[in-house]
Amino acid sequence: MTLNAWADIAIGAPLAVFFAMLLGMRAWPRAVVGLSLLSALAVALATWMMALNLPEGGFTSSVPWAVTDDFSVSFGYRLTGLSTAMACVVGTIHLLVQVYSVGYMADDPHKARFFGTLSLFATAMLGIVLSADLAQTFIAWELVGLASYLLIGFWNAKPAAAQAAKKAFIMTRFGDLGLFAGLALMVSRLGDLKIDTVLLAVEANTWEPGFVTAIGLCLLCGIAGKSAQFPLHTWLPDAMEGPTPVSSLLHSATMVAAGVYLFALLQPLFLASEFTATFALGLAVFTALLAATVACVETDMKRVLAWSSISQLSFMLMGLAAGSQVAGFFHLVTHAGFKCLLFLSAGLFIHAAHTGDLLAIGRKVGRSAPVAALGLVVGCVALSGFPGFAGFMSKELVLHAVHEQGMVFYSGALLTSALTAYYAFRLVFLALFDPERESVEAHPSAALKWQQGVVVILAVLTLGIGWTGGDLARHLGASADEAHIHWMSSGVAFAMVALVLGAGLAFVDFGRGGERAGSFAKFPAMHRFFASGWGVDAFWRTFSDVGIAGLTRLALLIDRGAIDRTVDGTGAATKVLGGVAARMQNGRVQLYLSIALGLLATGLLALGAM
Amino acid sequence: MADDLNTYLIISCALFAIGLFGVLLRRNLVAMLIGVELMLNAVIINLVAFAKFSAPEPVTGQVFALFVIGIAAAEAAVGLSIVLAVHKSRGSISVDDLQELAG
Amino acid sequence: MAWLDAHILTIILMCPVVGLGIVMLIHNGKDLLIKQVAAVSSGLSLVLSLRVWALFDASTAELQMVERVAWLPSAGINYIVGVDGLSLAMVLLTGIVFFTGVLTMWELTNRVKEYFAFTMALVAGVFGVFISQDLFFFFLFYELAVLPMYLLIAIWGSTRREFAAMKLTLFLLAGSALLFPALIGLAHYSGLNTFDMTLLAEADTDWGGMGLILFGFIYVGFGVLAGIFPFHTWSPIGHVAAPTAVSMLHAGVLMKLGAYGVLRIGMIILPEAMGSWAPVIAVLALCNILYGAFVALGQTDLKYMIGYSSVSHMGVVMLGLATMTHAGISGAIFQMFAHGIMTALFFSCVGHIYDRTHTREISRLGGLFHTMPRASTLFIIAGMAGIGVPCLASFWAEFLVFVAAVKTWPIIGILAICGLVASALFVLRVIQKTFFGPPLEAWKDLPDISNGMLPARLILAGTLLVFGIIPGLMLTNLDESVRALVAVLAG
Repeated sequence: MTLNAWADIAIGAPLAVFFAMLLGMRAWPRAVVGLSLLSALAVALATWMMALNLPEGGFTSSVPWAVTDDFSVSFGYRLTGLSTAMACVVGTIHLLVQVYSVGYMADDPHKARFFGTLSLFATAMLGIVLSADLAQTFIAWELVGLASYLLIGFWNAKPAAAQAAKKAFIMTRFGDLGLFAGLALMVSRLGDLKIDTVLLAVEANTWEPGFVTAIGLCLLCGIAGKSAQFPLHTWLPDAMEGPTPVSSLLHSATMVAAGVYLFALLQPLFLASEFTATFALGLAVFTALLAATVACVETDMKRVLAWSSISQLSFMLMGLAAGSQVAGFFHLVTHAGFKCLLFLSAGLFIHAAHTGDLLAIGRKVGRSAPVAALGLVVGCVALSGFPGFAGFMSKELVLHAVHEQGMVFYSGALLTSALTAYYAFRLVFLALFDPERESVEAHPSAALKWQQGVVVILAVLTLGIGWTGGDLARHLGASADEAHIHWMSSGVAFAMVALVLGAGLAFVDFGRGGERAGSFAKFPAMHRFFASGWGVDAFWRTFSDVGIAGLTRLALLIDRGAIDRTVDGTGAATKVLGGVAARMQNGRVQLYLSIALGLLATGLLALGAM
Repeated sequence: MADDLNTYLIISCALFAIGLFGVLLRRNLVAMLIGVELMLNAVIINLVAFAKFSAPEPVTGQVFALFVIGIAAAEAAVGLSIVLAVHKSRGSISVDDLQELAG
Repeated sequence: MAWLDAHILTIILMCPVVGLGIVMLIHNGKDLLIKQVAAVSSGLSLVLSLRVWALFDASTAELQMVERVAWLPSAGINYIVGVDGLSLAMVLLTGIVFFTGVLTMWELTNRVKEYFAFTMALVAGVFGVFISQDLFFFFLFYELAVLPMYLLIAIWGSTRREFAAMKLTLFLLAGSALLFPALIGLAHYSGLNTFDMTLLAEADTDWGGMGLILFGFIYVGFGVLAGIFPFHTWSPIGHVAAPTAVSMLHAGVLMKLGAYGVLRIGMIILPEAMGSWAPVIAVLALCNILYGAFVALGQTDLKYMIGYSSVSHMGVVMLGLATMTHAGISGAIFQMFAHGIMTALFFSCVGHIYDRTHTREISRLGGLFHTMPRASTLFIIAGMAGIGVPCLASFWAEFLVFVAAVKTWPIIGILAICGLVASALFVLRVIQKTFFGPPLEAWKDLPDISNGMLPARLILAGTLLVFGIIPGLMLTNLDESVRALVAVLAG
């Protein structure tokens, strides 16, 4: 089979499932689930086949999609080391999450809709990853947003879920404006948006610097929306209202990484403008810090993980903005593994405890769910950057790259690392080591087997994935040295110090039982500030309530008060004039005749005078 | 008064003005009808006078006058019967009571 | 078959006319028979418009399937019909909306005969406008399309129907009052003394200042029907008062007549004047897009919301035309088509909901997704098309227009892109408030769209999807005609 055919399968198979669901297969949910699993398997296979059979120099194919004289859009595949590696991540995680969902959604009456939409997501996500044309990327990007909207709002009878879905769509839409504007600016110079064309134009250095910076900032806006960076990040924690497999697949492992992927893809464009690169780096460091502090005080298990995702996405962007594609992308890969694991374990906990509250989980479930506990521990160890585990390896590369960009950024990143260790171990201690745990009997079900199996597989993957850096670097076309970790360096030492400080503080706060508030609670003002997400959410709410609502009221006022009143006023004026005219028609024939004669006489006199 | 065209025209004009006055200002339908008759007679005087002083064929004017007299008779008949009908249905022949067409 | 193909446009025009004639002959009580006649006549016109689509030769900008009959040659008036790339999509659009509109009104019981008679008169006018190539007939059909609207709204409408019908009619007639002198002016000042649009367009007339004035008359006159800011207030109130299928025809097809008139008469015959007017048109279009979206956001009535969304979307059409580029004009025509289908779907879903709940107040609805999954899904599809989600036809339209706009006027273009968020805001708000949330007790047992009533909606949703996934279907047909137009506009 050719690469093109594999790519067709990867994109087409899930799409077929979605349409089958839409066109009436909802009546047979089991059939949809079966089809969906089959297509997920095909997708995973196809993505790995593409990665393994990738020829030297990549592979590109495209067919025209929408052609005009001014510019044209094509549909096609551009398979490179980067895109196939990303496709493998997506394909693999997608398959695992689908299998997990078989158990998770076993009793849901609408599971056909769930699996169909999940398949739509796979198509869209791979559409971004394999795309050869930025316009196609944009299209898939929007479709991913649509799938995300539908999945967050899957339990739309819950007002919170419906609200969160809308928020996610709108916030990412804000970012997409920037992306769209950036693409439109580019196409006004280029004629098409093929990635090769764009990269060539950047390489040729034909655009004036201001233009490059403008485009970079516009695209960065889109990336901030999708990858939940400040100030457009507030939708991601709320998105946890969706089913847990969705949180795992879309809102941590793959979809939110789309922004990072776009950055990696167009890295030369961003790096071409020093301002854009530095701005992106600064934004990433700031977001990482912000999100990590919030994760330290959050009490809902999935929301902790969501804030952690934001923070880790910032780490990826840091690596990329600092100039190292390998570091940033490697972190994307490892994060996809361990964060997916964490979410799926969280799903097991939440399923057992019927709540997402961290303290309640610790009290009700804790270690009585061994597989979940295993997943949580492995995931958290990887997340916190324990040497040898996945998170450590990639984060170390990122920190190394950031170090070269200046001490401000580096110290911010190190501080975030320490906070990461703190909240990761806080999660472990709170969930697993609650001394007052009530013993609740476990009630195993057949469906649970699916979920537990996936968690075990992911745990194994997470343990191993940290050592694949060299292979990944080679696949990306870089030398394996770029993924090499200098164990005996000051950088590793600093990272160790951060880890020990963070983990140690977590142990002091939560590891020994007793009061479960933590060090942050000792400073109530700061605690409140962190718990409110640094007030960003409040800012957006004000923006919506005052800004948008104000504009709406103004528009309504103009419409009803000015325009429509003028229109109706014209009507009323006509009526008044008509009334005046009607008064002359009083039925007195003699008056009419007098007027007629008067007019005739005046006319004759006027004629005579001429 | 001299026997020339102007004399006749002045008389006719005065007659027409009296008729018009009657039509415009009287409220009684019969009086208005009489006003119309006066105006018609003014026209007849005009026709005959012009015929006498300026037409090569003197008979034409007189014939026209006869026609108008005939029409005036018909008009009076129709007009008076309308007035009669109005009087029957309304009990009045004052135009003040006949303002159905007010807008 | 050959005879049919040669006269296909006239036959399409005759479908509703003959249908009208037959309906008039049917006895008043036989509602089903009347509906069947209407369905056959509309179905036939849909099939024939598909046939026109198939016969169309995309490789030329010339008029095709032309028929000419001398009518009043001394006055320069002839019956000339023909299609090119610009009108092809409009003919299909009319066919689809006509057919689905008739199906949507299948449950009508009040004065069935008169309703379908007026509808068919209206559609005959619309078809006539889209295929006429003679100014006189263009105007004649235009008036024919506008007038039945008054009766359709005043008799079968709801909320403040007499007022709405009167307002709508007066507005449109005011537009006509500007158009009539303009059209006569075109024939007169060209010096050709003809109403033949092709001749007028090809003539090398130096219009000078008169061209600017005539274009202004044409732009405002037709623009009223296209809902240009600030002459748009008749449109939402008309949508609200109109019965379901009339709203479909009104927003789906009738508003397109306005934009089509500006394109077909204004831009083609007076290209230089268009060049001078373009900035004004672009700014007003921007007002439409942003302002319409914000007013829509403030509405509490579903139909008002959709009405103002139409105002916003018609702004995209006008913006596309104002760019005077290949991509922009193609996008504008694509948007006319996509928006027509989309609003038709919107209104047919809202109609279903209103017929069952007897309210359109957004605050009184909620949780309908669980009681009416079909109606909700279809509404959401229409909504997604409205906010430019890819793989639905209007995405391409908006994409082409906005990119072209950014190229021509970067600031206006980028501001117009901001309209995408505003439209997302109001559509998602309505979806959240109306369909999502816990199912309300009051609406729990209401029936969903029945199997019999589903096909009409499926045709509309399917059309959105097909053109969204294969935009080439539309763009190839537009290609040559738009290229020729752009060449004329460039002088």
